[in-house]
Amino acid sequence: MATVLCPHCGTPNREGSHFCNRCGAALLAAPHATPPQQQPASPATPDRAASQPWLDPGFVGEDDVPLEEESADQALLGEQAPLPAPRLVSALQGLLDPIRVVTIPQEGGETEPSLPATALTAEKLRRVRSLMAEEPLVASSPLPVPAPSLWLRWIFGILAIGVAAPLLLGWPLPADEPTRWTGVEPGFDSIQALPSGARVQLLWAFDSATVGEMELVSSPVLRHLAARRARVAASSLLPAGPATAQRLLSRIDPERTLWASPDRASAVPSVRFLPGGAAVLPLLAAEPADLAVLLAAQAEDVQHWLEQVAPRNRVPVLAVTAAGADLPLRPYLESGQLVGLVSGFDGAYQYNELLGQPFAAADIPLLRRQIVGQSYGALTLLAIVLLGNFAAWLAGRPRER
Amino acid sequence: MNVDALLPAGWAAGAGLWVGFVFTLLIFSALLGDHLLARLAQYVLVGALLGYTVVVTWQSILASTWVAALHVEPWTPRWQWAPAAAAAILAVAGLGRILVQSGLRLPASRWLEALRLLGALPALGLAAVAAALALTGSIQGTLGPQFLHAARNGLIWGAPWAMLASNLVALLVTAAALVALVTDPAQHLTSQPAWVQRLLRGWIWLGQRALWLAAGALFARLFASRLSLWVAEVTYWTQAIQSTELGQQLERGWRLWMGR
Amino acid sequence: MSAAARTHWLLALLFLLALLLIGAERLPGTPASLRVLGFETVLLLAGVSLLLGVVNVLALHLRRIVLGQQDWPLSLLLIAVLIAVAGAGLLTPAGAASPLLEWVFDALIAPGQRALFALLVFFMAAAAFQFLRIGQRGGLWMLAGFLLLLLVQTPLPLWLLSQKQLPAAASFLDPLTNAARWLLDVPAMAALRAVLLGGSLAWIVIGARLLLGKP
Repeated sequence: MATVLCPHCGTPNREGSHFCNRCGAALLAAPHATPPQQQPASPATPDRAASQPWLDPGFVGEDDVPLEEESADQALLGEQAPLPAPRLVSALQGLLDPIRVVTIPQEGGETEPSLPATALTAEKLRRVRSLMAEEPLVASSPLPVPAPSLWLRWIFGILAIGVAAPLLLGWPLPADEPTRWTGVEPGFDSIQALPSGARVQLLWAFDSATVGEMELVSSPVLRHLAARRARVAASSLLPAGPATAQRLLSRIDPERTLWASPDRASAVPSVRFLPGGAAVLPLLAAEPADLAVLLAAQAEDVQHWLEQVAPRNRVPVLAVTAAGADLPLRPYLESGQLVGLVSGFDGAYQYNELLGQPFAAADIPLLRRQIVGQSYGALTLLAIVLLGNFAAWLAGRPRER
Repeated sequence: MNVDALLPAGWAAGAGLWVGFVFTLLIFSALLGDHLLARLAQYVLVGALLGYTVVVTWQSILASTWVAALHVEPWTPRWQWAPAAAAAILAVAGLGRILVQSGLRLPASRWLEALRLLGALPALGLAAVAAALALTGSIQGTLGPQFLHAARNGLIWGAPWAMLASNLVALLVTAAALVALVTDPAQHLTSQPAWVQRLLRGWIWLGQRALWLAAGALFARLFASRLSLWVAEVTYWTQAIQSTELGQQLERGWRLWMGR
Repeated sequence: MSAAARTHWLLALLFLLALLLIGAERLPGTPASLRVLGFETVLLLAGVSLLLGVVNVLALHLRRIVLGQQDWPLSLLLIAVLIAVAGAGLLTPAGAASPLLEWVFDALIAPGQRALFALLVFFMAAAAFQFLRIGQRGGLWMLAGFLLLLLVQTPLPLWLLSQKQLPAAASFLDPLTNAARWLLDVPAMAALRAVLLGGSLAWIVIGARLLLGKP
């Protein structure tokens, strides 16, 4: 396929394009590019590009219309393929769907219905596009490591600012408190009902990857267990799980009240690493316990416990999970297989309230920041979704519902 | 060899904070596009994590349980050697396979062939046990209890009408979503009578909508989960940097600039 | 019989054996020590498999270096870091609890993992922009589910709606929240239960196929 290099940013564009696909500069006077075989190879390997398409410099998102190959027979016959209508590329450079603003009538071809934006002149379009484009780079060849498509950057930027700005600038906290989910109170009651010295199995199914959220929700539960003088036997399904557990427990339980006597003498709390996932969980069914507390970032780990361990030892199970694991586990709460379910920042907030002072004092400031971040983050996401729908509406290309 | 002596205790904690901060920034920079420094950070992370995994696995599984036990009491009980032998065969056969896949040409030998076949036994055994546990577990831990719960709660005669209606909707939607999941209309419905087709298509329509609704809700909850990680990360680094001398100077400058 | 067919039948046989052992393990007379030994064996084999996986990654990157493929210097770095961390841990009796490994964990592994997972929210936002659209297949319903849950779980929309500037909002806020709760508790929950049931049925089919030598 013959291409034209943009004189502005160096991006290869299909021959006949009026504007650059990336920066919006006018292309009609641009020099012709090299044949496709001389195009620089994508720095992203095919494997990586397949699994992480945003790493591929050619990735423009589903919205953008890719440069189509001209059919061989058209080229042989010397026919010019129909030109695509100039697009308000990705109107705000990708934030919006590609819009066919002006339709160039083709001889004998069908014309597409024009949109109201036809009133915009080419010059105005160019200005809008260059306003929203990347920094003007004068380059005669494509960038060595092109960045992902711009709409992605816009979304990343909007979200980063939408969440970080309220946190860093100390924007006000919404007056309302987080929602109250069913499952937190029964979970609290299940620990409250434990006698002093009760044996508790602890499954540590998270590591430093998800500690940011899991610390919030695990801390009040672990404090509660320590207050009830429970004796804990812990295992982890992740290699970095024991180290994460030791760090969190040394902060929450410096007196080491949670640990059964042999372990309390040792330098670090012992958390056994169990590779093999669900296949090795039945091993834990042999341990005597009054309650099983599962600290899990993913719903699957709780599900595996309910399938492999709970039917064997019949010990009541309390799940303490990330917010994302909440909904898939609700059926187990309804069926009574879980005695309680504490999840996410809102579950943590509710549990801390039940726990009361002085236990909650350490977590409340962190939780308040979470509530601020969640609130403004949700609003930002709403704006992003709205933009996506606005883009689709502008594009006027409704797909199958 | 005392490798811990390589780490001077005096500056390790402070240096660790800044190394971690720079490392975090490098990984975050992937948002700006694919570039060498972001890739470098990712490769270092994978290398460190895999090395750490080797240590933890050796320490908590192999060394503590098996090597120590067999070293202290080699012959009591003797049958403890069977799992150890299976693991050794798996290790040797697995290593051989990896070497062959890497392009290394091993000499043709009957012994190597026998070892390869023998090594398949523990590997297949592990897969078979995992599959059998998943099957029995899903029946006793999910299918049975969830089916019973849906069936029992669907129709409770004498319950208040609002509750009865909700339960009926739940039962209907559960069945509809299940039908939508397991039925391919093009494959399964074409040979059915017209009224069955209409009924099932309607049911599938309902089930699909319920699945989509649940997927949207799931997405929102998952977003909250991932947002928590971002908020925690911003909070952690703000507090960690603020606690350093440089951070305090920066904070003073920030306050001056903001007029607070 | 081909090698693949032999493998399938061997797997079927082992699967049947595993099912019988799991059944026997649940019988009251089975000695607890035998049960523990069985699962400790699985644990040992899983540990060895994990180590083999690490060796496989090593071999993969060695191959990239030897062939001089793209980013081979980074592969070299990966191998160097892997060997340094593993060596440091294996050479000290404390292993992962040694000061050097603890430093590596605190300065590299924990911040790296945290940062990598914190990035996911950005890609989720990109996915929301792309797929939560009314025109997409199922988009309207997914968008509805998304908005309902957002309404229920996030304090700010509720707070904004209940402000005095929006007096009309108070009258429909409660019914709206109640309706959202009902939709999440009844139809959405029913769909999620169906997904769990469907997953279990899939395992039954997989089990049957394994037993028939057709994995």
